[in-house]
Amino acid sequence: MTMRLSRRTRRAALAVAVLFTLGSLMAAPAAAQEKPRPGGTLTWFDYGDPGRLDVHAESPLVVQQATAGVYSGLLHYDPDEPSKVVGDLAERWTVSPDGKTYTFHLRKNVKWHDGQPFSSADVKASFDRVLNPDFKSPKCGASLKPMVASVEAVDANTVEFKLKFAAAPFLPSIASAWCRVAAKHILTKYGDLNSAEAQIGTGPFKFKKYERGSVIEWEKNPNYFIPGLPYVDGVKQYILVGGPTQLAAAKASKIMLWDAWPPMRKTQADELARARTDVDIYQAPINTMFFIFLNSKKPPFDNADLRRAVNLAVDRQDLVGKALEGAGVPCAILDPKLVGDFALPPDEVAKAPGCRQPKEQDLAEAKKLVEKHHPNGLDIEVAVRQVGNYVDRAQLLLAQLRKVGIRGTLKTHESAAGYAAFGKGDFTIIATQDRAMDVNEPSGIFHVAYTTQAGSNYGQYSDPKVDDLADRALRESNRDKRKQLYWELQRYLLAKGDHASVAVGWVEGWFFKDQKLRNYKPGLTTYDNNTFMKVWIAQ
Amino acid sequence: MSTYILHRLLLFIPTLFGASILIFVLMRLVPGDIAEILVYQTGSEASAVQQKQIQQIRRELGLDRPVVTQYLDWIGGAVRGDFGQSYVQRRPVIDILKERFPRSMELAALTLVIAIVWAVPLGVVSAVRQNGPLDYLARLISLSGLSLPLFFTGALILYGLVRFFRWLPPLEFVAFTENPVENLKQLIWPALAQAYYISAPITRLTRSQMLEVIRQDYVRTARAKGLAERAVIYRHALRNSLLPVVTFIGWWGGRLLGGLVIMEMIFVVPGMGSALIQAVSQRDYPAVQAMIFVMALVFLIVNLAVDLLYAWLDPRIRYA
Amino acid sequence: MKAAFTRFVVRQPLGAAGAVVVLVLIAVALFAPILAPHGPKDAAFAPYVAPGREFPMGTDQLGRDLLSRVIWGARLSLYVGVVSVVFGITLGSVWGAVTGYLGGAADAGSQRVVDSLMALPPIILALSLMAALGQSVDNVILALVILLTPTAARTIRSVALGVAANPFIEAAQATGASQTRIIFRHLIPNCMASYIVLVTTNISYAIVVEASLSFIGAGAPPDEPSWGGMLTAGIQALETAPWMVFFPGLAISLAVFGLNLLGDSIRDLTDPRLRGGLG
Repeated sequence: MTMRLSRRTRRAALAVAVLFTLGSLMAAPAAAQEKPRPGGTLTWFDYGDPGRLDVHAESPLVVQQATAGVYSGLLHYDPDEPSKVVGDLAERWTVSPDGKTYTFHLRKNVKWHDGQPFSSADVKASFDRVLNPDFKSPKCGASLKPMVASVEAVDANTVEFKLKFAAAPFLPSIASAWCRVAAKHILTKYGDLNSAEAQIGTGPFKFKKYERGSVIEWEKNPNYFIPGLPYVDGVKQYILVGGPTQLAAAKASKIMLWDAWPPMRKTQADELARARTDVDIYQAPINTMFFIFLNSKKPPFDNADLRRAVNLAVDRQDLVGKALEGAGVPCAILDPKLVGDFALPPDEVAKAPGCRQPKEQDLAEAKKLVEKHHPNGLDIEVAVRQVGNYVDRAQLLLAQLRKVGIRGTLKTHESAAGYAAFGKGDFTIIATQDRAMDVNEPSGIFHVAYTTQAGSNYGQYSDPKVDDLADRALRESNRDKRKQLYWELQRYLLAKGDHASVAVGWVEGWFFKDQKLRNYKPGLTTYDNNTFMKVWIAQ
Repeated sequence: MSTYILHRLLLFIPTLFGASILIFVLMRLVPGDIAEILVYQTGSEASAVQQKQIQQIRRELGLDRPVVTQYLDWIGGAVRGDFGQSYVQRRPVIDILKERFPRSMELAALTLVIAIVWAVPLGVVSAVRQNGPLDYLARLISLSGLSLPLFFTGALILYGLVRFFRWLPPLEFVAFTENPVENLKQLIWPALAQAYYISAPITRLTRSQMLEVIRQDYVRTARAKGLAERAVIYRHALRNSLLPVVTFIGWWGGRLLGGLVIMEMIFVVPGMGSALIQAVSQRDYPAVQAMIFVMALVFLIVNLAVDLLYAWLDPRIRYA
Repeated sequence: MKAAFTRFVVRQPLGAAGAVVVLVLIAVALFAPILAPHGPKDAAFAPYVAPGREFPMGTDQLGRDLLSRVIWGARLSLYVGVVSVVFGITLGSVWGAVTGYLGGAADAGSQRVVDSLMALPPIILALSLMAALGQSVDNVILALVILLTPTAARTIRSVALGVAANPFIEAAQATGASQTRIIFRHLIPNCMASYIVLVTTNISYAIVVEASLSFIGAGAPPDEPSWGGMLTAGIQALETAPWMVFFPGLAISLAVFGLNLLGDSIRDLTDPRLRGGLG
């Protein structure tokens, strides 16, 4: 055994030496290049196996990652400037004066990857599918269904969307990576988009290979409707499950970027920095909120006082500092970095109950509320899914709650099945559950976790005023009035402090990209800007 | 002999039934099913809509029927080779099996070969030099394999390869038939780690079997006849002491398929172990059932083969 | 007594070393509350502190003192290891011995149950059990018991078969000795040696299996000071905080070595076939 190992060691060392010599010979004429250089393969990874590839019907990030470059949308976020919505398959669009009709003028001479011509019929087929009340579309469908009444193909190159009301979020929503256009003939042929064969799009890359559990590959679409794009010849995503394997791949230069969930931890980022000097490590927001959920339908949290107590007791700054290693924005219900002035100013937020530092005042109030109803303290089960560093976060929360007389024991759930427990209301308190926004829009967070019908309102708490404000803001087309409504809503939630969805902070994370990778700009949500249509690889 | 084989084959049936019933029931005891997971994991849709969707999915997949009906339905298909459709991948489970099974088998075979080549000689040395320094060394080395959990050894190997050699095993799986070198470059590491781990009991058993046999009469006779010490050991002692070891290896080898889960995860080998653990966590009942069925079948077949080998090798044990 | 002890150390130096380690392990486990400077769950300090004066083994990612956790971990590991093994192996041994000795339909039926259980991959069985029961230390023990019982049943059964076939036993049965008498005076003593071996070797196996279960999230709850859990958390920060894996890893290794060496020696001593040296 020892002899076998050293033979292998020697061979490996020799290989490394040879490669290093060759590599340095090739890198010699390395002039800084500004002009995009075609060629090369982009390598990155998926944190899990997608299983099914239907971008209209699925919701996990891995599905988005697996298919993004294959499709185009009507609109998308500009790869050069990810906060701007620009046309993709639509060259231009007009809005009716009442704001309820959007007319998109489509590009001409676009072809599907199998050679068939693209037309408005494909757009209509895709959106009819997504908007169908019997079709489960948790991303695109969920955001468009409340807004869109119908989709019509006016002629071969024009599509008309009729909205139920003048909805400000409509354009950002339809630009989402989830609202991609699929081919009518493919939908007819396969019924759904689950299989690798059905991945026929109009995007910069063709779907080349799906080796389950191993790798997903795209290859350059030579007939892409923007000549000269994409620059890279192909994209390869390894399917890497688990932190150690992912980090090892990063350190060994097998992947060129980290654009997945969960983001890197600071310790991993530091390790990578020590191993490689040819990477850029950066911190970025991922448009995701770290929530704590209280079950308002069961004791003890059916009592508003106790919900208020938890809201006061949670030390958001401490959680962001320790659990997120400082990468986050505590307390804010809307993040100014993401939605600009729709968010309350940070110094106002810092004075809200639950956010005040030093923490003694909040803790004292919280303790009094707990003692009022449970003089001997309270024993509860604290649920958490075993994913990422959620369990660590939960343990930090336990320590915080103990300070106000709430003694918790951890109840861990499996990653997938945990959702079932939460959805059914099988919990007292969920220590942590991140919710990612699909669209970078102020309305998002409220319809995700705060309104009565919100899909992630796990605590099933109903406040008619919240519903009313959120709904009015959604339908308001005047920007200033909208801003006022969102400010009122945020102030209300912060002051009342008894909602079952407790916002801890917006999550950011560490990521890296290889220095050779140029023009890669992370999107404003975790789902956008994964098409890589304009990135290129320098020598 | 053939009646014996037939008898053993017939015994497969109750065991396969038993194992499949056990896992069928166990999977339904764990909380959550595919319908709930699919619907609740998004958390974007209105909660009123979600209940309806769950019922619909359950109806489509037949999960709203009584458990016994579901089982009979499944077993009826299974014996004909129809394992149904994967709830998660929406394609026939048999396709998943055909993809994943050969890879795990290859990894298992590689692991066993390495383990045997490493552990058996170590056990022999240990026995022949009982209580000498070589014995102690051999026992300590083989024990060290057991002393760390497998995931840790695997993670250490990955870390070490990257840290000290800037090299990572291939992350993409390539079949042995396509490119044996690339294939082995990936599989050798989990095989080594796993073999290291399972070698301890093999070494220990070899050692104790050898010790027992060395003292036997016929060995003494061989020595008395003047045969060289080496011949004594290798021709008589080794051959006879290996029989229980063969049985043990067979027993262990038959279970290796399931034991590879962690190694497959860490070294990105898309085999049956990693597929199984994913299927369990996603409540993909048909996939779990089928893979367990196959693993149980392999376990039984390997056991039978090894017992037959034992009977063939040891003239004292023959079944009429 | 002292002579016997010295003879043991001389004859079985590895076993003696193992015994020392095991004794230390037991002592640490018993006196954990006194030995540990802090509580195992107190996340009161700065995270990732390197070993030094204040924290001889450093702190982990939540700022808990690693020395205290490793010490309390000895108690947890021994508790889990001993309880699960004693229950599991005993249960399995009784089952295997009785059905093997009695033979017939009872034996055939029980063999099928044992085979069915053993055909299931242990990791999957444990994972499903933990998911069904909920993650707690006692449920880990239960899962381990279910894993260990079939193995013990199978092993002891073959010993019992040997006993049942012994002509001495047949003679005793012929002369009218009661089954109970035979079981207690012959069956059980003959199975004892194998039973002891099973127990000693499986305690360390149980400790290591629990660690593997932690990796896939089916071991002891993560805030408990389980050595396996510490390893799982530690590999996330392998380079930044190597002490997080070094100390629990060392603890597990020492425990495994000690238990196995001791077990091997006990087997060498009690197995009548191996006693007495020849050349």
